Amino acid sequence: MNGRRVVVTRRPVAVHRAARALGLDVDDDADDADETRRLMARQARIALSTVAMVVALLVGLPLLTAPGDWLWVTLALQPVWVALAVIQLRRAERAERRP
Amino acid sequence: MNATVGASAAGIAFVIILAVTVGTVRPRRYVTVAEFYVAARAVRPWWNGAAISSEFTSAAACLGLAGLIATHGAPMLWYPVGSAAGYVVILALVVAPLRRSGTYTLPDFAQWRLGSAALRRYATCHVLAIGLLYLVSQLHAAGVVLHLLTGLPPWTGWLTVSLVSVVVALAGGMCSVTSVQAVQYWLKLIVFAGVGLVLWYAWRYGAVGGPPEVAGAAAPAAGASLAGAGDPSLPGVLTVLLACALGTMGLPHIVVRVYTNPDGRSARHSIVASQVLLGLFFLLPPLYGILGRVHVPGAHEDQVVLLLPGKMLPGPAGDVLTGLLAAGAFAAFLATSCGVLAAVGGAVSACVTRPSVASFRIALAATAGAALTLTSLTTAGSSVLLVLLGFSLSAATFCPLLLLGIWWRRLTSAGVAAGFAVGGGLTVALVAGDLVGVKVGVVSQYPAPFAVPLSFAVMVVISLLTPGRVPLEVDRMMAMMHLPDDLASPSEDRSSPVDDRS
Repeated sequence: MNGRRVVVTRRPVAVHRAARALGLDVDDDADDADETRRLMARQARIALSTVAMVVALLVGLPLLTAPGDWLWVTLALQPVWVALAVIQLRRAERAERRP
Repeated sequence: MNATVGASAAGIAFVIILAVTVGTVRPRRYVTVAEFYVAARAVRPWWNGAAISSEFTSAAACLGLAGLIATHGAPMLWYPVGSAAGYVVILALVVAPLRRSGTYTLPDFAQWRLGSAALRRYATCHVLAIGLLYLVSQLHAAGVVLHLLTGLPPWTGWLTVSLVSVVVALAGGMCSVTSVQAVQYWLKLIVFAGVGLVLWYAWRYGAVGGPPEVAGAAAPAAGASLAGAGDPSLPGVLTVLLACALGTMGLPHIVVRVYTNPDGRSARHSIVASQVLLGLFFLLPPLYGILGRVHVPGAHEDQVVLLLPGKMLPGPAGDVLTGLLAAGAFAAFLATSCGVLAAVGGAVSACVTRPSVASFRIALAATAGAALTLTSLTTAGSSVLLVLLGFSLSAATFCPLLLLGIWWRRLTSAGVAAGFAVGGGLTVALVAGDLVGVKVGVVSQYPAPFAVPLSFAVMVVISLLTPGRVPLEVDRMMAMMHLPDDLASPSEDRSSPVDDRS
């Protein structure tokens, strides 16, 4: 798919630890751990930017708008959540596709 | 009045028959417990999205929110916004890793991630508490509604809803619950939107008298409040928004739905689908709230919606509309009760004994019994306030567990246990104190902004103090949760076999 080997068997962790101690066959495991860290950092950045938007709107709008306008403000926010969700979904999936 | 009783009874009977038929007409043969719990993981995103939305639009969302907007005024308009925002947070931070972890329930996740069976039992107690809060609020609302519409004593409403939910959940596990809920989402949306538009049209274009403008909707009215919910002041609203945005992820019946998707990718799509469907549904409480403020001022929160048609259009038209709304209301009670019972029953049975279909059924019936007992011991308040207390509790316990468990390697079971005790304990103590009249100033009034950060802080500090208890396989778990479904190593039951779908 993207040139990465797909692991099809699951080996107990103990075997990995023993193998690493003996200096055998560790690239695969280390690769996995590195890739996990990279992907987690990327996903965390994307997720936190979405959550920051949500928090800004949820805290900012009740403080900044007048109660008389709240009917329209709150109705308008529902489509905004949907848009944020769709953008978050697309960014998260793109991050996973990137090799 | 007799015609109203007849129409309401017909509507309620229709929904109950629909639920039992959809739920039991094609009982599947389940080979393993996993299949029974999670509908064999073959539910499609839009179908699951409708089920998630249906579970979330409980009595509180259908009747209570509109009632609160009518009685407490404009600040309550923020509650539906906060509840829907919770799904964006779930999508961004929780859903795909949680699904890929391959655990069924929140206590399952706690045990898998932190390797402690004691922690699992401790988390199960919290699941049970939140589930019972939800169930009691549904049963009380059912009692109030049935009494209002037909004059029957409230306990008939409690019994009807709990019996039908138990039957549906027992008959086919999560698969039948999923179908019942998805069907009921569309039923609720069509009924509440249709009746709402008819009433709005009747008010705006002639047929009904009453003031043409909403007088004083912006002026907050004083009313009962519980843990900051129902408090129309700005800090009260922000407290509820925080509890909703962070608490949704820890609701046992919402999270268990994620496991019915085959993989992390489709779980994400389900949440986006339910975001769309919820956004659609949450346009309705403001509509009913405004109608209720104008036409039935001073009514009980959970009754406002159902009183509207009779007040606005006396005669046959009003009776038919009341019957339709009664059907929609019972669809809401049943959908949420079924989902909560199945989720809590699954969590409790897996904790008490070796998981089996029989123990799941016993746990489910016992949970329903406990909910009925609690309902009979308490008096009916507003359904929204009880549900929001569940949100506060979940935001102070399961939210830090999920966020730290998914994104932070150094979390330990000791840290989680301490965080649960402090966050959950503080919330419960403050609310209990508030109810008996012991107030600790602003903390008592708005517990969530204090309990949630405190719970996070305690979890982090205690985890850092107990580094020896970080699970050995934490790297493998992180890889399993965060690598895409087709890259990570397959384990026991991450996805259902293709030929397993019937």
